Amino acid sequence: MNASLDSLRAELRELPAPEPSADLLPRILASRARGLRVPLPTGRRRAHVALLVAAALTVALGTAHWAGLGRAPSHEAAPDLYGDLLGGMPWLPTPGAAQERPVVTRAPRYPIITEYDPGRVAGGIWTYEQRTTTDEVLTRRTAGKTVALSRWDLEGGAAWFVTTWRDTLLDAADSAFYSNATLRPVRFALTGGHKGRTRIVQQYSSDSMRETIDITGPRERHFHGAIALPGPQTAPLLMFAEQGGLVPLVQALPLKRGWRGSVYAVGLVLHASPGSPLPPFLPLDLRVTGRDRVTVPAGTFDCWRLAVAQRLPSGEYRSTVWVSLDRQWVVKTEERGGDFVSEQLLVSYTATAP
Amino acid sequence: VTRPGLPELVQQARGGSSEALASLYSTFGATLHRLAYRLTGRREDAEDVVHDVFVGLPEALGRYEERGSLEAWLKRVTARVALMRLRSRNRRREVGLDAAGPPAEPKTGAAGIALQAAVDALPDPLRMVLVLKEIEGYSHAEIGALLGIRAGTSRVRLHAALKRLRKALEDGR
Repeated sequence: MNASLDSLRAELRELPAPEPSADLLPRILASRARGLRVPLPTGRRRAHVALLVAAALTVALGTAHWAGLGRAPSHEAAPDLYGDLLGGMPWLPTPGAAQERPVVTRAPRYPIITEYDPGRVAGGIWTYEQRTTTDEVLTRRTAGKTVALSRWDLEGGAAWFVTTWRDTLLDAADSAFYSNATLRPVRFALTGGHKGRTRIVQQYSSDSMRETIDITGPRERHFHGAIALPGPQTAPLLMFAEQGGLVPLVQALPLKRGWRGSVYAVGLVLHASPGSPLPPFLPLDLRVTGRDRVTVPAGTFDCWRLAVAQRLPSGEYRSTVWVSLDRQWVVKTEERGGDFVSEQLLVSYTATAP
Repeated sequence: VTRPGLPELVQQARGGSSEALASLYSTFGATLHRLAYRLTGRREDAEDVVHDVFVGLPEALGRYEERGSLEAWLKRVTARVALMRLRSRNRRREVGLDAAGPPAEPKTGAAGIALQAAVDALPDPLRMVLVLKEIEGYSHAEIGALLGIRAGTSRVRLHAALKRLRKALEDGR
């Protein structure tokens, strides 16, 4: 074979490829008839979930207008809210995002988690380091994040106070309260945006969530909304924009070989708006895929390997979380992209007063 | 190439018409399958990719702005789905049955077999760039946007892929 570059290119273009099987079209039509729907990545670049949430939050904080209580937000009140919002945001994706159809909650892949033991959760401060490896060569280390978990007494009963500091685009810090008895959210607050002028507060009841967004500064605005929560009221919930909730949850899970379960993550009420790039709720699918011995800056741990998947309109985001066998701490998190590996490694743990 | 009736088909498919979806499949299915096969290197993956693309197409067409060629848009979507498939496959460290045995796909002659084997042996990131640039004719900037990498990374990968191919073919002579 003449291996010169030009002839190589010509031969590449002439390589044959098989025809699709004859039953492919009938299978496609049968899948649609069964109700199967596949969200396709149609145009926007894959973005890290946190960045996408940050973008959505910023949009919310910058321009939102929302008022509607009840089982679902009233779309008549804001027929194309997200489209209007996105049009004015220079760094949010394509105009196509404003053409998204109304949000539909995706079905969880596994049974919703209802068997768990909140009594196993213990407080502490976990500090993580973020490492990004690109093309197997470039490694970047960032400060990562710190998750602090401590017991508080609220008016409605005992709660876990989860607060997370992290280096993000928005330089945001958040705090969340989860019910001690159920690990369902009670309250979430996030401050961020330009000069920290934006603040989101979510108040949870057993079956619904109310949200307020306050923007201070020259363009002061205030918004509010509410939405019903998905799943049984006996199931734990996570909050989409709050990254520390997995720390108490995994401590309470009955992890063992073959264990699997799904939990809903709650986003913003704003995400229920037509054209929102994210739905208001997304199930997080968790599955134990094995055991590994993992070495991180904090030491060496025997861990459960937990596959975590979340299906977004832009594609399925998967990560692997290693959870220590003994106390079920989140020891390591790994996400792989096209040419990068992003790892979050436990650097230290500090016990807090019970 | 936009054919007469395509806008109507798109409109009907958006509305959930099975006939319109079947017509779109008959127009573009083979092309997209060929692309998916070249990107994934496996027939069963290519079929799954095309299956997913057409199952999701009626809803996705809601985001098609009809400003460019439908075929080009479909190819970009297919490439992205194939990329997701590859990522998922790599995470599972999945080894297909055809990877362990003789190639199941038609080849043309000894030279074609050797070239196909060399392409199949490329790591996924290199094969993706090679296929998109040399066979599909995308620019490095477009490949960068598709794969979430820099255009420079795409150039480096193409260079590495071609170098490996040439070495594999020379070693095999």
